[in-house]
Amino acid sequence: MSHLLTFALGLLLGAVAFTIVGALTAILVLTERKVGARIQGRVGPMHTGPQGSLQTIADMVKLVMKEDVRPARADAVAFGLGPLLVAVPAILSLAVIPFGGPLIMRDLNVGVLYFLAVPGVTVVGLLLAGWASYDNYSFLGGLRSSAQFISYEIPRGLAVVTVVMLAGSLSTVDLLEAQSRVPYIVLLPLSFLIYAITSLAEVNRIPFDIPEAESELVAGYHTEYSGFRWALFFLAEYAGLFAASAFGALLFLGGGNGPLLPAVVWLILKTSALMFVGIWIRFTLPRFRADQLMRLAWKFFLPLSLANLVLAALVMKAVA
Amino acid sequence: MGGMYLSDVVFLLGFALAVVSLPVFTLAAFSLLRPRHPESLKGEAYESGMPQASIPRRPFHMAYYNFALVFIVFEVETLLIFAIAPVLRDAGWWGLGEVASFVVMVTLGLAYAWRKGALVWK
Repeated sequence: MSHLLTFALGLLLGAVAFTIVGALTAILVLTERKVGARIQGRVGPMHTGPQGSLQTIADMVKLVMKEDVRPARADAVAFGLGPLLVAVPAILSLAVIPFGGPLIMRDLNVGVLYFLAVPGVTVVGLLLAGWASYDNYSFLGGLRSSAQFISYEIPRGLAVVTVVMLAGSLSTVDLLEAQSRVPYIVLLPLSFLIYAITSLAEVNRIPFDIPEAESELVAGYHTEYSGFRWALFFLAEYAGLFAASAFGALLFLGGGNGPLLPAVVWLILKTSALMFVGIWIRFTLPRFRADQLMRLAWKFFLPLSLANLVLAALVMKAVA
Repeated sequence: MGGMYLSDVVFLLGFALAVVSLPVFTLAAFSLLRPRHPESLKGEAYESGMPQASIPRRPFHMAYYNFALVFIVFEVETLLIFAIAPVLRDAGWWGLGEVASFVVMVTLGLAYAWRKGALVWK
């Protein structure tokens, strides 16, 4: 295939990925509000559409039509770049998730590394957004958020590397084949737990939503954002939740592998189950304090994941 | 291998271009529809209704620097392990021992940072 065609295919699939994430966010926001309402004994949104089902669509229309307010002393370029650098990597990471059969946007031979590396750019966006807003809450939120992000990136990477050790490949498609008999959650349960918990921290969700701790930081790094720019942060959060869940399903739950049903259905089922747990946790647990959060990352998860590395090496020897 | 790599990069360039330009386009297109009423108070930074108490361009806590340093050590460690992980299965006990000694050395670094109090968040 000529490079021009490949480029055009990339453009097309990029547009597809953006559309999928937009639709997904609409569904996930509604699901989250409805599930949360159920857990807390409320009914959730009810007014727009039957049972409130069109609420997020209405919200999205409202958001794009809102005035774009920017603080007078904000740095215009960095203020604009911030939300983009947060949203774009989250969407880019979808490129390597195999949805079963030929349904993968690109089977990179370094797919796993790509999935971990690309969302790493997010931290730059968080810092930029917080710094550019010229607001004390934003500034502190951006700093704390980036500190949290980099701290949890390490145990997460070390948990993923154990899967790579067992599978012997960095391609996401090969990972799937390697799990055709036993999903890795059976062989590496500790890796799965570390991955699941640190992933919540990576996408800034409760109990790790320090950057947005409303009672102390208002809305953290996105305090000064409104309208569509603010929506981009939300898009990023839900794209991140989806990508992390889909990747977790792929790494540990055997992705699209399963009897009877087609692969894509299995992947969606497993991903939804993980996302549901994420939502469930959000409405169950309180938030960590900033120092507890850092202590947990460095003094618990990091040593644990290093020990897990040794454990995984032994499992690898035992399986081989 | 080389040609495959190049076409992957070309694909990702197209992919990234689409994902970057769509939000930018949406933001620009809706500027035709959305209201625009600039007012001096709207330009103020939000500080719970008070005038800004301090300038947000100020030095921040030293702890961030410590954590950033330790982060670099362990991120590079993770990356190096990623490089050898796919072939570790066939590397035998000798290869495994080499990687293990590397991990132990970096773990000593963690123990050092821990003892020096670099991992305490104040």
